[in-house]
Amino acid sequence: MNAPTTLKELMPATDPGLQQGRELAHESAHLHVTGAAVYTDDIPELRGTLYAALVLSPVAHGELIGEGIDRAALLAQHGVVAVFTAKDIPGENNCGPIIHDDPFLAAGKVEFLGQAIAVVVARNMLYAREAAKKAQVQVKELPAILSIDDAMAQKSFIMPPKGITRGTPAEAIALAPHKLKGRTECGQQEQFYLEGQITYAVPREDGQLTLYCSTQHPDGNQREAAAALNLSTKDVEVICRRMGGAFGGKEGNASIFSQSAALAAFKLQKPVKLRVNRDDDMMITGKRHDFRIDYEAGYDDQGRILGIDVVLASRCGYSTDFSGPVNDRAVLHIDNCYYLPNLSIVSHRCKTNMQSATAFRGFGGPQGMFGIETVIEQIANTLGKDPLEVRRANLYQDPAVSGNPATMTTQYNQLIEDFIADKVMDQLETESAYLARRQSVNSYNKESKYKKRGLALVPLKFGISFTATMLNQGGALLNIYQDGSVSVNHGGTEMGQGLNTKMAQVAADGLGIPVSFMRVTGTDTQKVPNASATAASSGADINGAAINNACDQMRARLAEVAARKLSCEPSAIEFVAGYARILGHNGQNTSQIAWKDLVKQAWLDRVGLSVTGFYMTPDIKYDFQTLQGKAFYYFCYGAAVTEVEIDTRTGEWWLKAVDIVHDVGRSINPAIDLGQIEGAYVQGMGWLTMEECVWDKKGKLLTHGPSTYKIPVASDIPEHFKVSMFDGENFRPTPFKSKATGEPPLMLALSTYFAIRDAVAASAGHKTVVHMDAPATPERILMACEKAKRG
Amino acid sequence: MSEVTNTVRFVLDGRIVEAQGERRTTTVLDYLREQLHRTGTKEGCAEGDCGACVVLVGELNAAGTGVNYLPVNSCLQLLPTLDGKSIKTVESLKNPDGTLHPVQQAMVGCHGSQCGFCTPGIVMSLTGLVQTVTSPSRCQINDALSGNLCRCTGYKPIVDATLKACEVPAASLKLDDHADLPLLKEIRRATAPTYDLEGGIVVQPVVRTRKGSEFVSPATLGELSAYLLEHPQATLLAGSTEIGLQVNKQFTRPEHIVYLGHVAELKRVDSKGAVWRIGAAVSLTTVEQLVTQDYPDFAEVLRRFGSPPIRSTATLAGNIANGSPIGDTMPCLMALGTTVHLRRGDKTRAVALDKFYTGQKKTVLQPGEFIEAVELPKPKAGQHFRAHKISKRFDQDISATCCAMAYELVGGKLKNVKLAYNGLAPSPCRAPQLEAVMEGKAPTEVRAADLDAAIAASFTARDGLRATWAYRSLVARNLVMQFVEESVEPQTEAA
Repeated sequence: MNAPTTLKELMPATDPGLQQGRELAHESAHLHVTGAAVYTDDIPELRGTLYAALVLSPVAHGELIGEGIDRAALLAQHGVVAVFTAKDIPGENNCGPIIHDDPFLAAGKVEFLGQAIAVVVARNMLYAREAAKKAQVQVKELPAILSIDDAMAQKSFIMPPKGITRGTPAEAIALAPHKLKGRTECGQQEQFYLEGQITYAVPREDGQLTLYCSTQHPDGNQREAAAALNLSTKDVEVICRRMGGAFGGKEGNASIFSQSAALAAFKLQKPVKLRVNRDDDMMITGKRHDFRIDYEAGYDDQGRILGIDVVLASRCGYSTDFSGPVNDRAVLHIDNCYYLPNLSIVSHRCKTNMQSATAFRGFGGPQGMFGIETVIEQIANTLGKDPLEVRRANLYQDPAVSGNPATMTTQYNQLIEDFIADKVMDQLETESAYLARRQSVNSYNKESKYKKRGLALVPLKFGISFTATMLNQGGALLNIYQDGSVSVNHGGTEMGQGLNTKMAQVAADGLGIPVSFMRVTGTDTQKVPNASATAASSGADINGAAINNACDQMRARLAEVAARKLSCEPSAIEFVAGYARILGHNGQNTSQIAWKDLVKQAWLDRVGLSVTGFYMTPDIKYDFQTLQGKAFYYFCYGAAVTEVEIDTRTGEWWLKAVDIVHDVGRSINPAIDLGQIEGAYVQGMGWLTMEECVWDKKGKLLTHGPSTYKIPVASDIPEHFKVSMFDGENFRPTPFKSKATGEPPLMLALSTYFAIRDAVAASAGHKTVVHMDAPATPERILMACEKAKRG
Repeated sequence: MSEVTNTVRFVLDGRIVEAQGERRTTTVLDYLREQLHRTGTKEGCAEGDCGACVVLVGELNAAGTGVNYLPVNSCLQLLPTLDGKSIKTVESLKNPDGTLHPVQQAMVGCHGSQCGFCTPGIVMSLTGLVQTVTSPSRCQINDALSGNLCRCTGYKPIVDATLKACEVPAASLKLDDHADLPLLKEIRRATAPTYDLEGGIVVQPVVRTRKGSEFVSPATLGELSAYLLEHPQATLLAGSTEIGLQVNKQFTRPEHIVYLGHVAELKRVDSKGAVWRIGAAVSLTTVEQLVTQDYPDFAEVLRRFGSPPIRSTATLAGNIANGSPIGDTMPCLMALGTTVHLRRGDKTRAVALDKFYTGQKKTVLQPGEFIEAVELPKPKAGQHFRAHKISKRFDQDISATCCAMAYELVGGKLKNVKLAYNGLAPSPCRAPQLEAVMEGKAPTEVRAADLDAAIAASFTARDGLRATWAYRSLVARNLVMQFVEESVEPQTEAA
């Protein structure tokens, strides 16, 4: 196909009046670069502010003796004002987002090393932290379950297993011309938001409480604080102007901290700030679930998977947290872009004495896709084919072409209505010159003794919607002031993804005015109530649609005002480029009224200039018990080609080139979407290569800071890093027909890992199947090369 | 004689800040945020690894005509080290008319910020870079950013923004410090010691508590050695990359802290003769420049040792004295036959670096004794030097192992082989049994199996946080094999 090659060419033809489709800078960019952007810790503190720190469990599993601390000893520490434990909580001791099995202060027992036992409040941060760090925890240590293997052996599960069976997998595998079997693992990942977890809790008059919290889910913090303090929800306000990154790590986990801060502030009736340092943050909060994946598959000469049996086991930590939906999503993404006619998949959710694994960009999807892509690679290795050929052979297919009505239906029985993975791959294959690159990699490998190159093209398909159907709703508040300026609020939170920028663009077009009129304000539970977490890539879709709904209502009101002034029917009024005007007319003063004048007139006419908007995602119907049904409103697609080089003497590797084609629908802001794609790729690359959580035998996380836990840095990024956006639009009526971009591009990084695998295979002349778990650290790469050498 | 003072004086944007009553361990970051309410500078890790806290610290140049800036991690630097210096934070960059510095402008234009939390540190690192390099290469930009983590963007727009920023005339990249200059002269620290009536040296504290704990900043070697005789347990502070960590993470508060950054004799490099005599307070950045030509592999190890904010403050002597088993400079220095010069009072002695360690983090240093200088031999004719560090990430990561080897090729045979590692033993060390395997052999005669046997005989197998023994020992052998093979056909497969 004659694919466009640059971002500019791919930008949708933009109406000069429209704000959507423009590459506007992030609404806070000028504040970011000058240091003027206010994060929670930057808010000027109120007089009398106290500081909190948490006493943490030194063991992975144990019975607390009494409260677990020596209260008097702690209170005697310099500067310490108060100490609180579980028994000081008047209401519910919980920070679990779904199932309330997650005490924010340990009561009776501790279940992971790093679990909070007490809140120490002191006159300054240093005193609080020092006292907390030096506290002697009184605990009787119990045996701990730490690994997936241990948990499986001891049948230690956080919830019962779930699975899907489609067709007759056992028979299909038995009858298949070729069979394979194997096991692989992919590792944990720390979110590593640059701004650590923080809540500043301020008591208000008459028993009310305000929490300034770095959180993806203010509504959750609000409800949980109310439950903990026996308040009603109306009396707790949660405010989040922006976060310094979150990536899922502040979806449920922000509550661990907001709850303790709320408790201390409420008890003391003084403002209390709880900002954990990086080490404690990493010790306390959950990571991406690591997965052990056992697979058995039968396939034909083309590499088509005829039957497959997959057993997933993930390390969920000590409480359920989001482990249910995370593991469900892994099950729902085991297909990636491939039709699996006969499939059995079982998902075990292991309970271990570790931080409760939590949300992280992709939410189980990447792990599921890692599984199926490993199977595909192993098939290709065994058949001696280019893995791309095997990928293509397994793609979902239009039933009209395949002659089989099932070939566009997922294992969870959803008909895919928007499949474009094949087209995305076509475009990428051309743009990246895949075949020529494959040849040049082969010839390089023939010449080079120690350094080997690898290449991989991996596609992705990612389902968009919360699988908990009720969460697919959004709210907005639109206030217009007499000077025509507009304040927009919505239930979403700004964590760097540019949501507020996009929402300003959506609202501006919704009212037909320039974006300069807009102020998207910080998230506040008193403005938009009951908002879902900004998660599941849903931010722009559900909040944008709610804003559109608000704008629709407001336009209807203002059209009547304009119609009276212009002597026409309200239905004849359109809102364009800062004017309300009669449809079809253009430019004459008698046929239009400027936005500011219209707003002023509306106020004079006593027309309400404030409106709320609401949206619920239609047309999804899914049973999370059976994992069957229309789970997703639509799918996002993408594909990446990555080329790497490895040194077979040291296992070091270099990222040589990345080419990406990604589907964002019709982009509301291509610059922001490009940033999401590039950033997600690099984050995913970190997960699969250098980011490694290391634990000791007692369940202590040893990599609890950036000195030991390495995320990618500038020099890890290749000069050739080319991203194209697929030229298309959402078949669903999302804002501007755009698609979600938060999570999907993370999975583009699967191509990094499989390119490394390809290079390892090349080190043994592509004559053997590679065994290498993720992350592919230099050590794993070298050891995989050594193993491949031995055959 | 200057007065006893409890005031740290530094210049900030055209005014003198007098910080009074601060702890000797208060960090620059905490002071900026909590006392000056300059909240643009962020804490991301408090260990010098994320760069959200980067600021520029200025010192008068030798001629007194301008200010030299160094990027530093304000989370690690202790406030009293700022005495007599100037500082620029992200808030300093905006022009009085409200326009942005070209780096800031380009960061906006290239969409270089997303969540924005790392952005101030990145802006400062880049502003620091363009003070001296006005049209940086991609490599130089990457290096300038090697200590700045961004979790959102994937860095591409930040690198693009730097290139874009440098399209403007070089003069507009310069920081405006005309108002700082006279003030820096005004608060300049004394360069000569103070004496009491009997002629004894009095070391004036920068910060002193009622209990007598203090932070001192001597100007001369005489003051320093006198002070250490009196306070042999005092903590020596140079780059603060280790002490700052202990302050932040272990709540350490040493009673006596002696800052070396003003000691004139320790800041010198003497390049006369066959050695470089490198003063104990000379930064790794300076050392890197010193050895770039002669020992490029060492320069690369130094580059990867840490980010510019780390390298601009950390020192060879600090790395050596700290004695971490995974210290990166020591294998290189040992293979090159480095000597450390120690001083206690008036007594000095020289110790070969490979005899300096007596165990894990244990050295031959006596109480009150300190490293005065590090003496690094210049290359001899026919000598070759190779070094390479293995880590999970190339930039600013801790070694699994770092291997360094010096040798000569005489008549096609390896001679005078000196090989040293870190990461394999309780301290960095030479590997004489491996050296013996190679000594006198032609490169092609060196057998992997012999090296393996020597490694097994030399070291105790132990799995570690950063690597298993299986990996470490394999890489330790492979690096030697690589150096040996490439000694015949040098650099056949350079990356």
